Amino acid sequence: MLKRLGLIFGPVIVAVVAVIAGIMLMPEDNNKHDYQAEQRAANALTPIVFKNQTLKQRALSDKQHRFVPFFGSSEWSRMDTFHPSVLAEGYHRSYRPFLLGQRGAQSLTQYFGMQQITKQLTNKQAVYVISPQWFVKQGEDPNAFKYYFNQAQALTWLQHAKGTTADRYAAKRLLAMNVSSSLTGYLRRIADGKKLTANDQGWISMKLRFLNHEDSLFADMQLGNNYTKRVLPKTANLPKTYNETKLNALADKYAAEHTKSNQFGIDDKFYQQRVAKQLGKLRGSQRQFNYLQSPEYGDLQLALQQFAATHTNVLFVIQPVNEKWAAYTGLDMKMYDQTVAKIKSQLTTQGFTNIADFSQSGDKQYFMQDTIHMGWRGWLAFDKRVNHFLTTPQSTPTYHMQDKYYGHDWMTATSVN
Amino acid sequence: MMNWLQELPNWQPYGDPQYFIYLLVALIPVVVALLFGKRIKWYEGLVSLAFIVLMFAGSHWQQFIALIGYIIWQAVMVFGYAKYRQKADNKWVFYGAVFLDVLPLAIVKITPAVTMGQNSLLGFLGISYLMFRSVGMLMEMRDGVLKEFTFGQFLRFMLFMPTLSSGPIDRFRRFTEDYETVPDRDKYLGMIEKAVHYLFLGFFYKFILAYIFGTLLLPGLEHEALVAGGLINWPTIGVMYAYGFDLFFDFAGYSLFAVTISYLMGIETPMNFDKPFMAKNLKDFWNRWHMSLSFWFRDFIFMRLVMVFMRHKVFKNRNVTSGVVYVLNMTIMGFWHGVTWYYISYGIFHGLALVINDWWLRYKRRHKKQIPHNKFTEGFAIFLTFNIVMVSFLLFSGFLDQLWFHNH
Repeated sequence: MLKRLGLIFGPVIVAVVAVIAGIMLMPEDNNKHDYQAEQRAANALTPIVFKNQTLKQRALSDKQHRFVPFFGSSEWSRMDTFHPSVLAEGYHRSYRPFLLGQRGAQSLTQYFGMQQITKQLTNKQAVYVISPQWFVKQGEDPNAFKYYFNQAQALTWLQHAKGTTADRYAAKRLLAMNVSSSLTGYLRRIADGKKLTANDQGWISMKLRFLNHEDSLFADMQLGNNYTKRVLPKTANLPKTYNETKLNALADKYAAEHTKSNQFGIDDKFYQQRVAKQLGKLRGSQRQFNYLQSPEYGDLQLALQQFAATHTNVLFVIQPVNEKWAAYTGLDMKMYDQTVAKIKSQLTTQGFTNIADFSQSGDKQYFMQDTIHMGWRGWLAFDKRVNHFLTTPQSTPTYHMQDKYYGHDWMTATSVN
Repeated sequence: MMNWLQELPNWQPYGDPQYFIYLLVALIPVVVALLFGKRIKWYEGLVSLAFIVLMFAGSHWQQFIALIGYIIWQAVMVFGYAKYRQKADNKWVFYGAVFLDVLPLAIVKITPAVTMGQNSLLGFLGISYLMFRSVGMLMEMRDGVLKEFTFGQFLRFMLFMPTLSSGPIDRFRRFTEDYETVPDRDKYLGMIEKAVHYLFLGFFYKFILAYIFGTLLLPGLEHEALVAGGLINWPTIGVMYAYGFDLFFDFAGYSLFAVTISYLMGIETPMNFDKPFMAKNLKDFWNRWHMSLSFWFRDFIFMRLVMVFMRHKVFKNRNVTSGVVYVLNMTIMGFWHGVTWYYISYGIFHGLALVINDWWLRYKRRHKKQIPHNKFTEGFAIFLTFNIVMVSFLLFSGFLDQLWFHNH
């Protein structure tokens, strides 16, 4: 009997041991710096890179090349000639954007993504693009959240979670995202304000060690290459030296060529694919939209809390909406302006005073590429602010965090004062 | 009162790798005992209970209450009818018992259709599969082949943990015989060997292939198809295949897990799939796809309806009878999936396709000489059957509902 059992389970045991040993013996190499691979990761815009600690750490800790985390969402995939990555590359800036976030990513996703790069954020700069569209009543969609989430993010966070208001709030939000049953027990404890036991911490660090080895092992297997395919070729379109007038003229030229099909100034391809067929249905479709009451305010506060903890100096960018489109769909612009005011108040009262507020630029010609994303002139304006922030000396900010921003009162407040 | 249940973590059956580790560790004593020819009934019961509780714990706790209520209802039906059947055999009493047995499930299935998507409080994960088991018992009692059984046997059969949530659907007598007789060591070692094989095949199906089709490919294709819009477009064809493969690998993977755990517990739960995409015709397909369900429908709906129609001579022609019953049988199956236009039309589609298939097989038999039969025609038959099945799955997926009626 034992012999037969050995024959049945032997191969399974050997395979399991081999896999675990293979992963654990693989050295965790977060200090390997290959510029091409770093650029590839920085422009990849995939959940794989977003979740991969090794790739993020390697690029952000490279001493020869200064990668700056650009936190945001779907805007990063609008890679036209004036995209911040193309301009930084084309004009040999002292920095390169490391793009973090895609469609559906919001502050909660960014907060847990940051857990993997806290060391790399410490005393550094960052750019954080806030879209008012995030601030819907139900907050971040759990499906989108899961798409950018992995256990290692939460386990890393749990190693430092202490039971502060911020920690308890984060645990509750993670529970609401319904992520993984194996985390539930830990999260409940934190959410209830209890500490994790030494035994819990032992398990967490063991699991994390395995996951981080795995992370490192797969870091070299990237797919696709936006850097060589979508960023580098576009630098050839740019004027030799940075010249605002020339760049504006070029942007206007491209924009005029690409917005012939509609009166909204929306890129033709986007218009044909996403708008044209249902134009009638979309009239007045955003009349009921309200961004004033949302758990997103609390989630944003988590990201701010992280920046304060790591003394990160951040430029916040507030995205405009295409005002012609907003008028057509009936978006309440007063509500939109109030939302922006509420976001800004949350930022400034706590010492986050670097804000590039483009919320009033949504009606400028060629500023928007589609309904809610900047392009052409918009990217140029964005780049100007970002470049200035990242390449001129900035005073060290002091932050004073307020727990009231995790409160129900703030998340549901409809006016700032 | 149910706070304790809400506080527990929720473990969906075979949901993630950890589930397997916990479950397999819990089963070690069962396996060791079976190797020595013993079945520790109390321990098996305890493990099953624990995993069933965890399946409905956390935010799903209301379903646990629904499950208990449902089991009581089913017990009343089954034991009530068993008692009655010892003395008499009126068909209307039998029909009534079946009707009452099916009633809660019917309510659960109809509720979302009449309340704009609200779920009935009576529902819980696996309710259909419990219904199949208990109706099967009623049918066998009516036939007089199932006479005596204990409450413990009933509960064990109904609440057999490995197959609770989605089958395979076993039959009472087969199951109970397996349970009451411990397999000899040689046979049991063979079962363990198969279990290990099925487990890893299941991992491959569910966590690799279903992931590729369902998680990596499907959302992008759906998005493209919705953007393209219209009645039909190329990305929708992509959705059709990706969904079809996802459906198969996901469900076949799950079924393999259920069979694996059953085998380790010394129960030879029937297999659910037998290379369905290699089917040569639609009839063959239904002998290979979700077999425990299609056999249940064959034995308890198709055969019975055919017998009723024949006895009452409703149709003169035998082929007309079977054709009508095919459509009825598959339409009922469609309704069982859910009261939506796409599930029902999926059922009717298969019913009609089976009628055509039957007609073709008869035609072929009559014209044996004229119709060639070789490797190529067989290959073509497999190809055609596969694609017809895929079209039906596109209907089943509900994606057309989104594309045609809810695309904004």
